[in-house]
Amino acid sequence: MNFFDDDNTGIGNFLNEVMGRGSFSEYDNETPKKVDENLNLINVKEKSYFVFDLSIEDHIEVEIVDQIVRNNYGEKVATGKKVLRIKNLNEILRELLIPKSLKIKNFEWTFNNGILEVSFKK
Amino acid sequence: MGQILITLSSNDMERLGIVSGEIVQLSGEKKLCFRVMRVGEEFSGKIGLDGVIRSTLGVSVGEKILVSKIEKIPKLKSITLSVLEHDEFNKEQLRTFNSQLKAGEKFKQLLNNAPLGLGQKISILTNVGNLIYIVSKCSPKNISFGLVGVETKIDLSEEIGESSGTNVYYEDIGGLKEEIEKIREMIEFPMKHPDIFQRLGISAPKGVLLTGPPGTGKTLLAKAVATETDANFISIAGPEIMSKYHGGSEENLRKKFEDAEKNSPTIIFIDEVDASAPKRGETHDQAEKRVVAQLLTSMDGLKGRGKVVVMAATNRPDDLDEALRRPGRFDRELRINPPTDEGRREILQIHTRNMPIENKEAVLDEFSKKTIGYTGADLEVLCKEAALKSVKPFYSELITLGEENDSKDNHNQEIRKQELLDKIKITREHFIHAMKIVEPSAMREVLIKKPHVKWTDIGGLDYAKEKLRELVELPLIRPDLYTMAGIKPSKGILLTGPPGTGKTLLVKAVANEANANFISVKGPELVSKWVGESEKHVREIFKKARQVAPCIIFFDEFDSISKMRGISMSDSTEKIVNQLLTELDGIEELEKVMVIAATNRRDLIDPALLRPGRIDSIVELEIPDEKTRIEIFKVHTKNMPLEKNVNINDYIKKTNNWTGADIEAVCRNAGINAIKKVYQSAKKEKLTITQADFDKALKEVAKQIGISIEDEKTGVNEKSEEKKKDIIKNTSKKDLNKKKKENENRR
Repeated sequence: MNFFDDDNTGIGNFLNEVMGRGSFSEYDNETPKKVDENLNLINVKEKSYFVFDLSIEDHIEVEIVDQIVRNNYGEKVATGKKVLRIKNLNEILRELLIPKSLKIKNFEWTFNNGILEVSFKK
Repeated sequence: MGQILITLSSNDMERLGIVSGEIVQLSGEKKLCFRVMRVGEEFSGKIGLDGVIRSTLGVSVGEKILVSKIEKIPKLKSITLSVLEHDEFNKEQLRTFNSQLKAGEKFKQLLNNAPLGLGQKISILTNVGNLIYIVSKCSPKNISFGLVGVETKIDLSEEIGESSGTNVYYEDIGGLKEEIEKIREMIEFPMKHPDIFQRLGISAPKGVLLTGPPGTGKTLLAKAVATETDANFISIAGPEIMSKYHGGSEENLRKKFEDAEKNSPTIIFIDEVDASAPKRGETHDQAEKRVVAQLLTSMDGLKGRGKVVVMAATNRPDDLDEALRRPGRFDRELRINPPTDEGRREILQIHTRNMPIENKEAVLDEFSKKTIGYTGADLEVLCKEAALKSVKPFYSELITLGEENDSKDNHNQEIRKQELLDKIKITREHFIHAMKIVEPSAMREVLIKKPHVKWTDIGGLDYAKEKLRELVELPLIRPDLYTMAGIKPSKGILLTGPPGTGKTLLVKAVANEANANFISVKGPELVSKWVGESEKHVREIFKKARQVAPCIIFFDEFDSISKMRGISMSDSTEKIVNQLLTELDGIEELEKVMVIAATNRRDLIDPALLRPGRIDSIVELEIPDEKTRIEIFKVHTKNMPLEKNVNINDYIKKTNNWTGADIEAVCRNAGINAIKKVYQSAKKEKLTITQADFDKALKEVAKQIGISIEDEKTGVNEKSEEKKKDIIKNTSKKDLNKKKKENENRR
């Protein structure tokens, strides 16, 4: 195993932080899929919602991760943006770029009868 | 994904204490359960249901319905679905589609997690369009509704269920919001609430006549009303009722009306009614006359007023028998016009619902503005053409994939096919290509291929260009300014001036640059040897223009059809003038239709046509001055490989009193001279245009137009002065000046 090309060693993270590129998230070993940037956001007084029809699925998980892209040298770098990742037991189903205006700390999600609702408190 | 969903606003959901995905019960004529999806607060107090759900629940748009939360819902063990009749497919075809869908396990994916109940209708999008299924059985038997899960067995019945409607709903119609509202008032309301009409002592309408150009959605509207009112739909096509036996046709028609009354509520729809009920005075066929009479008496004899409504569609209402259009028969008439910008956007949205379009919103916005004059049917074809174009590069790959019949590798094949299908994206370019193929149907007879002339391709003529933009483009682009100013834009513009000064060229630029339909009429073409035909042509042109407004009608060589009345020897020309006068300023307003006429014989035109309110703006094009000639030379030599020593300024003085067309001829001839040199020479020379080529061309054109080249020293040439006078005489400029002076003296 080559010492320097293993991302899990933390060396890559350290170098990136020194170079000002931001750090990797703990999920950087997963290749990011194409991120969907057009979100249909429902804004009400105190909350913002995303709703997805995932009727075909019976079990899903939702998490927020850093957006990781590969630069011209093939290195994985964090863009500083956050991505909402929806996955089932086997694979990532969708990745959606979260608008900067949303506070990601206050996020909740429910999955009822195939409908996923993600909410962010304002 | 699953479509059996309803939408509720965020605050209504809070009131019910639910989040997206939870189940509510809707209580209309039937009680059914649905999952809820959250929408914004702007939809507060409203519930979003598609047409299939509305029809199962027995509610219409705007009606109230009770919504309650369901805490627990049992799981379904099995359900049986039956496909409903479809007006486009026969039973055999439907059975084949059924078996294909069953094999593909499409139902499992579509219905997973959805609550379903007995008698519930489901719309399923298949390769052949939307098919409607009904839940005919469900297990356990003691429950009326339950949730479909992974373990639920889905069976398809071999039997084809009976469908009362036509599977077309209001949301399948774009751009006809007002018309839908009116038709609901006329038909749906009396059909659903006959008691209100009885109490008020008003009788509901018996018949509604839909008129408008072909492809605007008349038949679709009738089908949608029938589905939404849950009425039976009986369609009568002209030739279908005709019989070879004496009295047979009338009997067929009578039977249709009897069936309608037996199975009421019913909507009888007569498509192309002008073919079944033409004016009795104009037809010589006795059978046709009897059919018209039968239709009249059948309509008079309709007992279940409000429960049986006759709808008829035609694009030639004037050809209908007058007796049909009186109250008591076709009480109401509804005109359906080609869609507006907004309407076209809605139609495009409907036809591209399931299309993977790149940057969809922007593409739909752009093409809804570009497709002026396109009807709903045209837009449907446009979308199909764009989609077909996008599939073309993947054709061979898809076919090869289909031919590989390796059953072991079936799963991999499916994945590869899906990957390939995911790659197909419809782009703006595909729509541009489709627009070249699909022309607006209402314009097909009169449509011209738009010229490629731009404003920048016209040298000089700044005043004329500005005037045209102001008179033609501004009213079409910013009609609001005219409304604010409280005035109406000019109806017509006359371009006048000597031959070759750029009248037609200017109009070509207008046609290309204005975002309007363009009808080009060559004056002499209108004149026909048959009595009444010439005027009819004029009427037809204006009628077409009104239909596809905003529209520009261009009359070239206008003097040939607008000669002063009284001096012309031909009666038909006078009739054309009369027709033009009434069309330009008749009772029927000419809205968003602009007339541009071009002539070099303004003196011959009937003065009534040029009075204010008709063709009241006159743009005079004069022989180009020195500055304009420089511009014209620049435009025509823009793409010419000129040799360095060629000085165009040398020719500016020499072409005093020459028209734009003459200058263009000089440049063209210079080019031809250069080509000749290269062509005749044995060596392979680079093609360049020299001063000598221009000199020769100048002499040639001067000889052709009868002007000797101007003396550089004096700058004056007798012959050219004479020509100028001739031209002025021809265009009666002299007379004009005289008139101007007279007017000034009078003041």
